Amino acid sequence: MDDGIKLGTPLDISHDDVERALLEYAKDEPAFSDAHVPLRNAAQRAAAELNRVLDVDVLEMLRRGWATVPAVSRAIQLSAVKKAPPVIIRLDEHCVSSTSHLVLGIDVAQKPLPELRLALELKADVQSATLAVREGRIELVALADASVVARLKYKSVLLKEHASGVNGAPRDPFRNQPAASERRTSVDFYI
Amino acid sequence: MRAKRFLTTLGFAVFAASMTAVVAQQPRPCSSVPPTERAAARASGACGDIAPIIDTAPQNGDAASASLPVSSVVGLAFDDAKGRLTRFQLRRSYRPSAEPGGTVLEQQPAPPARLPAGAIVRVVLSDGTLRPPPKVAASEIDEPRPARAAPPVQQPQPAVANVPPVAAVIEPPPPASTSREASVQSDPPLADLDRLAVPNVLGMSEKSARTRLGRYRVELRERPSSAPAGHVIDQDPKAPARATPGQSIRLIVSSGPANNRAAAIAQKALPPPISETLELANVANRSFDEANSALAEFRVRRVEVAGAAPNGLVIGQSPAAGSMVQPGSAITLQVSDGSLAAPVTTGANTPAAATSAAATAAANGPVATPPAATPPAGTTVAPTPAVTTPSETTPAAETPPAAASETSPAASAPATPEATTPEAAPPVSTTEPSVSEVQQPAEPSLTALMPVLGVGALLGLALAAFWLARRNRSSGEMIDIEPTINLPAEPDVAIAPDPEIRFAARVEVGDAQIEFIATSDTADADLDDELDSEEATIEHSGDRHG
Repeated sequence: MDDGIKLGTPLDISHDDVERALLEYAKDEPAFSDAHVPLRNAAQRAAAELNRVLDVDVLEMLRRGWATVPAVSRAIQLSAVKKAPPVIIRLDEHCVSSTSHLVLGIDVAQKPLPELRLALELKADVQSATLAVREGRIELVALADASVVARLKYKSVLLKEHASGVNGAPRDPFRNQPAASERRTSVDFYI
Repeated sequence: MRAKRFLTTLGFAVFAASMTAVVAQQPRPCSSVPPTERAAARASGACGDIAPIIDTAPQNGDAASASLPVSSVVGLAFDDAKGRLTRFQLRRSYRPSAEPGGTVLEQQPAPPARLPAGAIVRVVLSDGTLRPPPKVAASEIDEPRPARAAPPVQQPQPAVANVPPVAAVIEPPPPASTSREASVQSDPPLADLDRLAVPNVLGMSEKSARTRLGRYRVELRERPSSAPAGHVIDQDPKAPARATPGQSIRLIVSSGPANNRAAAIAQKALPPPISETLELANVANRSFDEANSALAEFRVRRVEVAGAAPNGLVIGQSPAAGSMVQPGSAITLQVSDGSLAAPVTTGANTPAAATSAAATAAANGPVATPPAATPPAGTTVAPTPAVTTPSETTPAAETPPAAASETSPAASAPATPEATTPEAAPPVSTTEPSVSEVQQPAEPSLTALMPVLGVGALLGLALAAFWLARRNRSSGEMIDIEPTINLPAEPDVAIAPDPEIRFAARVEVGDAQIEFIATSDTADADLDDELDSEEATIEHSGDRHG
């Protein structure tokens, strides 16, 4: 379960996306305008470099969001200091969003140009999730009907948008069963 | 000529007078009238609209009743906020904060916004995890815990993985009847009401720290440290402890790096370095010196990059502004070397432009001067600036305009406002009147000749192209006289990798936020209760399986 869950289809950055980003960036950064043409020829390599680091682990993003829920946060803290069986927490319908940055450093003739910063927005809509909190960590037990939208932007310019389901997690076996006491978050048993 | 100049001046004067009269006849704009009186004033002609306006003042029609005012709920508990915003859908998310759990920290939209009924209002609630833990007297530690009370813990870590062990803090027993419980400092005790949170002054200069701690008495001590001298390296009590105004706060100020062995040994015996973090200021578009002083708490590393910004200007920083960084961490500033300033040739051959361009070149730093840059004999030429900082450059004010425009490519640099200062061109101003008087008679004839010269040049070019094409055709060669279009390189075409261009990508992971989707008030209330009382549920699980 800790292998991580990925976007159903990878967010593949193409040389076109890089070219568009460079074009927009050159408007803001005149230093780029001179090096724009040779950089366009190298856009394929830049795209490959970006794809290399762009390993979208949706589970890690979801974990950071789940950790902000007070119930989960306190369970994490408790399990970090006290050896105990895992605590199972079920979260009903929610949305986790995060914004990370893809930063492309560019050296032309061993001279660095200003970095190109692209925003990677991830938004996951989760129908329900069942988590196990153990030893200060969140483990995903089950995830039901989750979808992720990934957007790659340069400032407000949308370069790529990709919607996908998530792979790597089983369906929630409790999805048709109401949570304990009809509450949307429940912490009620060990495994 | 004088008559022509007189007529021109007279024409301008008449035009200006007529415009002044037209403006004076305009009624005052309706936007300056209070909204409640605007309609009446507009109807009576007391005010006028210069241009069609969209009046945003509240009207008494249906449009106003279709939207409802959004009340301010910041600072309220979530339940109270729900009570105030019953006509809207509430979406909430949580954020670590020192405010009590469930307190509204932000709302969007904020008043005085108006929304239709049922619209979404987002609120950010405190999860209360950054509240200081309650203190317990040592004698109370062995007290049996209440059955359903889980021990709260200190300072939750936002990162999920590798959460370091945190010392558990024993929660005070519930208010009951034993006399020993009187020794327990409950949270918050009544005595804390007049105590204020001590601000964090770590990393600040002594002066700033004193200003920040104005309500308290400051005790200073010095200690050798690798931090800059005069900066606070420790404080007691630390933030966010509470203290009564007037209470003494002890500050340890760095006296600079230790010089002798004894001091070094003493420094080793000091407590471990402070792990406080400071928010990184945005220093982009500031000079390196300013940025360096603004980031005094950090180790600043300068990296020169090719840029179009003026030399010495910070054009990038890593980590990014707003990041939380420990004092003493390395901060990399990307400083433009000004070498990629876009050349502008318009007006470069005029004396003023040449002079200002020379001054700009002097201000921008090193400029590659071609070998042919030999000034005319007998002229005084300022030395080519070879230094990198603007403050050390010699103004090129004595450079004659002709020499500047002919000898240095910097003469085509864009003229900056500071380059047009009066002291930049004293020699030029003395000769300007005579030059203009000599050139004035030639202007009409040149203007009249321009179309003729242009047509002649075009005809010449066309004839030359025709002659070249005929010659090549007769010799069996073909020449492509179609204009060539440089298309962008196709990605599928194998392009030899340019070793001069290198890329290095990295990911800067940002924070994540969660938002529960409320479907009804009942469910919301349940969720709220659950989130606020999960300790009891956890303890209940322990009971069941213990």
